[in-house]
Amino acid sequence: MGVVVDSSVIVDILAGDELAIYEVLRAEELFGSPYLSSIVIFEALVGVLHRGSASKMRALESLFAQYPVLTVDAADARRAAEVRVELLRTGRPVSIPDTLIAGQALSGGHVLLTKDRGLADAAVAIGLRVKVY
Amino acid sequence: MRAGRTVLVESWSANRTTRDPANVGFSARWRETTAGSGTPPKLRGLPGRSVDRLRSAGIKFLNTLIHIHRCMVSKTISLEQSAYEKLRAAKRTNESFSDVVTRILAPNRPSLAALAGFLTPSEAKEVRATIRKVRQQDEAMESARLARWREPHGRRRRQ
Repeated sequence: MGVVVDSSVIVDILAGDELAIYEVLRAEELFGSPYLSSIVIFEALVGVLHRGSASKMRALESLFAQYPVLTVDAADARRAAEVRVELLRTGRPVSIPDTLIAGQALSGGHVLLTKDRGLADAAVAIGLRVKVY
Repeated sequence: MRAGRTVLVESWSANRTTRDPANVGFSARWRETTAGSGTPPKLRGLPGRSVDRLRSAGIKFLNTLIHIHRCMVSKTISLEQSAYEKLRAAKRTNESFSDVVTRILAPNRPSLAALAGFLTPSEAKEVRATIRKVRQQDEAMESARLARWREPHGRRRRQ
């Protein structure tokens, strides 16, 4: 069991947002070591590379390499599909990246740290443990 | 085995987390005329091995000793008193000794907080805007694709 963060949280941490840092430290203390989703890495790298800074992207890649990465495997895809279907059923729209991250967190038994209240509300229905701030 | 012979189960050990020890699977030490271990003969082939079912099948339990484990498999280790005291001191409220060992021996990974300060506030603002833009583009593309699927077949062909 560990902590997975979504893209908005990782950008806040990279920016040195004090609340995000406090929440991630607290979540790691309570729920275990951090894991990085490959989806989050993708979105963060797109954001950095779009600024035209390949060197900064490489630097970020090497920083991310310190953490265990969750890739989307068949079990994650299955849980993500369950999440998607449940959200369709309850009429709560969540983006595809967030659905996949939720699937990864569910599959690995991790806690998802997010700022997305929509995802947090949906979490109750899908059995995902979410820490929202 | 002769019909009607009673197997005395001396102790059993639950192997699943439950609040109801009467309804869990178990492994048992048992006694017939001599001591044995493993599954008593009379229990073999019974559908399920919950204690209630066994009692209804006429199995008597002696000195029932219940061990509820959080894991399917557990190991017993010996510690010197000083090591035990240290482990107990490290144990937090609502934490088992297994949790303490797992926490202390966890790989020493840096916190995600170690990434703080990689981006300036203005850079972070741009990154957020890019992520938002990419997601909006994806959603727009999906909507357009969905609209094409909804069109009648003939109309799509004319395009």
